[in-house]
Amino acid sequence: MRSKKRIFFTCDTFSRLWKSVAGFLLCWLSISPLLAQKWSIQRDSSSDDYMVIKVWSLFAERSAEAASLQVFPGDTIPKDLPPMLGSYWQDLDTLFFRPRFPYQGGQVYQLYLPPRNKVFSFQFNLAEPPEGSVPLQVYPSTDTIPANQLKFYLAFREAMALQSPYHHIWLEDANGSKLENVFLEIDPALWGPHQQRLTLWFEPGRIKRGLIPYLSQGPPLQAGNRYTLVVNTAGIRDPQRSDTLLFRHSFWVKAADRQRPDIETWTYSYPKVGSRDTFSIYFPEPMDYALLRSDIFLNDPENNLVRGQMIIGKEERSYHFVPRQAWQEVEYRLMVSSFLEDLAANNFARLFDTDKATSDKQGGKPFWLYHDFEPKR
Amino acid sequence: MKCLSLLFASLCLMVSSLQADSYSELTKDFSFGKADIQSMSVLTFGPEGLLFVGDANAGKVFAIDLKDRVQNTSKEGFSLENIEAKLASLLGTTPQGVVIHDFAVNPISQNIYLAVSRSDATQLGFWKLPNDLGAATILLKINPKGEISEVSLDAISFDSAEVPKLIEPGQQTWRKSDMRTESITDIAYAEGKLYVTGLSNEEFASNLRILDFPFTDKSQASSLEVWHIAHGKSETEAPIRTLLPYKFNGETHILASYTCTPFVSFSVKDLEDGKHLKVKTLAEFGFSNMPIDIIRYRRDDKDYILMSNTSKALIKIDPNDIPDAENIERKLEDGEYTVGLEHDVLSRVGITHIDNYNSENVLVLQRMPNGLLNLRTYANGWL
Repeated sequence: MRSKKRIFFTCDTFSRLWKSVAGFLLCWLSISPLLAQKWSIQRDSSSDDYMVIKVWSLFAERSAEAASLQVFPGDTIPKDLPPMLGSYWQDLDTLFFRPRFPYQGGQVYQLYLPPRNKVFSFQFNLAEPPEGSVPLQVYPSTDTIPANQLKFYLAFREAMALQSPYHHIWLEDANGSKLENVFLEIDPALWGPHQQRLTLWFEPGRIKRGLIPYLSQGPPLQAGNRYTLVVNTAGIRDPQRSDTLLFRHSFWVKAADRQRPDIETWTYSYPKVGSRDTFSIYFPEPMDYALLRSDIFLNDPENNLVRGQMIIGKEERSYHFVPRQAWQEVEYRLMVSSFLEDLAANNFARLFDTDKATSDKQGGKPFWLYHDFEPKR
Repeated sequence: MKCLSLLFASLCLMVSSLQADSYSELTKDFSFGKADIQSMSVLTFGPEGLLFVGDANAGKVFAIDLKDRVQNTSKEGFSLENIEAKLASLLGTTPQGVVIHDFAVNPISQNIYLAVSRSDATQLGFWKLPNDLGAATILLKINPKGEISEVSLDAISFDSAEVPKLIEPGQQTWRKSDMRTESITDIAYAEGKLYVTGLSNEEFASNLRILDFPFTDKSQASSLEVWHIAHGKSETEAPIRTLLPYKFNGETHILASYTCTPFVSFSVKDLEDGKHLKVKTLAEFGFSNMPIDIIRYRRDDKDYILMSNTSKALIKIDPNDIPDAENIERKLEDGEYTVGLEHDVLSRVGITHIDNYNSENVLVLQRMPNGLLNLRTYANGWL
């Protein structure tokens, strides 16, 4: 039995330099209004270390188009200069570009994709965010979640001041009516480091069938309905502020998920020996954003952790790993903790909500799930 | 005729098997993995397309098997204009954010290898050279078509050797650089030996080490003393900036030059491990100048020595003048600028690094009057 080890996703030397400025630098984007309907670019929020740029594109249906993605430093697309070194890959309709050397603060870059013999250019700048705005990413990022969804993660771009943020966060139904007693209010709230990430639980008593809140109020989400999570970012950032900056995240609800995840249903994309290609895992359903970051490891044959950087794919349906050193011609072991959960908090060992009277005994000690592979020759 | 063909075929077979033997012998101790290079201070090619890297920060020399051994017998020249803009685009920065620390041409393939860093070039100055930054960690390859790619040092076949007794980091040179960056100032390979110049941590800091290649645990080191004509004194703390092993009458000599710019020659057989050697100063090529690279090239079936510098254009020497040149041990007199060995200063501008590109061309890194940095060749016949 292999022992569990901590994994440290570290970055290369240049990335460390970048990291020191990444805290206060953000990507801002100016896109031609015409193109904005079909395109958007965003910095990958799961990684501040090395600044993956995601390019969401309706055109990006073929991997050949991903390979044509190019990034240039400077104000214009140069005619006779080579594009930046880096890795390009595709995950569903999202193109990724991870530069070999991190972006530099203050430098303007051009992103270039010539699909179908057309050329579009985007410009984004690394600059401090405008006064007062607090960009926010909500996980799960998919627009459809199960009716027994257990958690949201709110990832803020900067440190928030307010310890107890609950009166600035609420859920609205499709008519815009505020719903009551939806979230579990814990004091202190479940803030991550620097108060940048908040874990927001749905009231578990309304998720687990058979408990009194469920029996008296019913589940918070009904399959088939649309809801909007509303966050007053101004109030959470600075309790003294009386104005509001409302962030809205809408989603659909589908039937409750009462299946455990199954590693046998995962698919993989393997790297080549000698390269630093991305090793990718694709899940048939979105997985828990935070646990993806802590419950997946890669070991070499000597049982040492393979160090590198991870990217969580679009809608948390995939996981990508770029090693710090090139892949060797050896067998690697992917290790997945049985604690890894899907959106309804079902893990490999147990369902979150189950009828003890009728179901088999579940849970017990944590265990590891393995997938061994050799990089391609 | 048939006999001749057979003879030719068997000769070819012998030559190729000899080459293969030499290659496999030289690389038998190499391992595959990450070459932990901290600063590619100097590059030079050895036998069989093996690249030597002198790493002043790590205090090591590396021998890297680039697997770049397809023979290219072209006699064509090469030109890549505005190389800083191209590197900047590849590395995601501005032309002023790129510094080229050294280059070397693989004599087998004619591919060019550049030691590069993403450093602030505005830190450089008259006395501040790229290697004073001690930062080159990016190895780039440029093929004869001018296509640039990165050579990953994360997964490569290599061997390395410690260079003993190097000067420790923390002290500053008069040029306001960390002395550690001068622990390895140049490297050159000849006949199974790797010559490494730079500063040691000993009383007489200027040092020449000789390492066997393939690397062994043993190395030899000698401290050097040079009479500095422009300064009018003997010096032991200034390192050789560039060196070239060269044979006179079958005996290997070291031709070398120092900052400000004494030129010396000495026989390798005079070097003994742990001993001090006072070398012959044959010339003063002018103060306020630092030599950068020194090579030999052929023109009209005759050898010439070519030296590039920070302030002076290319200095050309006839090696036949060297064996009989006199040792000079006096101070420059008022009004004197260069003395000693006869030499030509060629009319070129802004040349820093040089190397042989192929049998007919010399590759130079040249800052043009318009400010652009070009990587280009000059035909031997024009030098």
